Amino acid sequence: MGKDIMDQVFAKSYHELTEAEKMEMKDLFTSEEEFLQIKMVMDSLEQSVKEQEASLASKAETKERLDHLFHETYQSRGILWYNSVGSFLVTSDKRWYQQNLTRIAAVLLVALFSLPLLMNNWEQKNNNLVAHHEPEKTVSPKLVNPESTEQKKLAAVTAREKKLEEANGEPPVLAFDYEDKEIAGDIDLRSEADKDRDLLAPAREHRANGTGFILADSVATTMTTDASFSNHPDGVFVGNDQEVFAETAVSAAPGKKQVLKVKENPYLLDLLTATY
Amino acid sequence: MQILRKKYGEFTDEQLMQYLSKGDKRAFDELYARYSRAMLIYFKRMLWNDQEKAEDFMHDLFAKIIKKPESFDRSRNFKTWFYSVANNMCKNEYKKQEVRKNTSYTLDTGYQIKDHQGNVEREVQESMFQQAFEEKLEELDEKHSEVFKLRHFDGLSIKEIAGMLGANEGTVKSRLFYATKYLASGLQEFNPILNR
Repeated sequence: MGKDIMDQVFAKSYHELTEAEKMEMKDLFTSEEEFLQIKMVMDSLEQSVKEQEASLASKAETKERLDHLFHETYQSRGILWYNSVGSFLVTSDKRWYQQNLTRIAAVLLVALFSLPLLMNNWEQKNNNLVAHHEPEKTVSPKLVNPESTEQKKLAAVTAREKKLEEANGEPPVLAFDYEDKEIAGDIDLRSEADKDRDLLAPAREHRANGTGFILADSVATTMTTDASFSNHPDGVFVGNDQEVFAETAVSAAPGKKQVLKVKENPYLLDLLTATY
Repeated sequence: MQILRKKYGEFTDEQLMQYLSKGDKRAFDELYARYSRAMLIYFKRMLWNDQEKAEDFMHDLFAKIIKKPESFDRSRNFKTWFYSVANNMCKNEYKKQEVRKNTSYTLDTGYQIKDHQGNVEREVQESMFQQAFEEKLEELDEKHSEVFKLRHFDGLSIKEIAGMLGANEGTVKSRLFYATKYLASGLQEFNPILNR
């Protein structure tokens, strides 16, 4: 029930009324007698209305029909989950700058405008770090102008040619040393026989020193020159030690023979197989 | 999700209408709880105390806000707008019937004066009071009786009546005072205090 001046006035007794209230209600009553008369009518009506409201109620059937109508109406429109989200974002009782949607949009805008600035700072910082840690660049061969080096080489070769022509009268076969060196590297281009000799050098030293070591140059030579020496596919020495070491080595003591067998001295086999 | 939980009982009618327009069933339930009985009383009083008709009219009124919630003017107070829609429905019904039936307010069927003491003398006096009240109310012209009924039977404030009828508050107040004074003076003989 709406509360207004009439409710306030008739809730009091006449003597409780202020002058302002009496002035306000002067069109309705001017004396206590009139006040009481009106109050009696008001009280009777109010009481009746309360009783009426208490006894009167709408039918449950009416509500069911309305519920059905509601579902029919809004099912077709689609009761969507984002209705609640929408009502959270935008509410009618707030001003536009108080809306949650405005607040979220403001945060996003600030983020959008500040992100490039932050990214720039970050990139600049990274560049500074890279520049700080990067060692001083040396001029690499790749960065040298190839045309200038080639021209220099060509000029040097031409000069040499001229000198040789003047000296011999025939153009020499040109060979670029620097290329050979680059290709060859540390590869040992010596023959395999030479390598074997080098490997067997300690043995020769032993013999020369009179330690009775049996290996001789002939063995190494046979190993490298005779292809049929080892029939094993991996080139492992599998021959009879008697064939190899039949000849007595130089004895430790003059007049005595000393035989060294591979079984007893496996390092000998290592020395032999190492050549393969 | 506490932030999204709504307390419908604390919402204003206008907020509930907004949620209802988005398909929020609980908003509709809350509005129905607030206004169904008041509307039923209003329609019953306006439509010749016919409760069946009042039920149908109340159903149609709520159906209107379900089907066309956008028809609610958000610049207006919901209560006054709702009553004005109900009032227009009654006026249309009057036109449809052509003959205005017994639209007079009858305390015999509608608002019974309660018998507190249960003595016969008082019952007779009250019955006489009711009859006199009806007669006096009938004597008033429509614009005065309408304001009086809206104020005292439907519980609307002067401001709300003004909003509903599209009239000035001063005009409503003047009409209400006139009707009240007229009835009170006409029922003077039933005042037990003055008659002692």
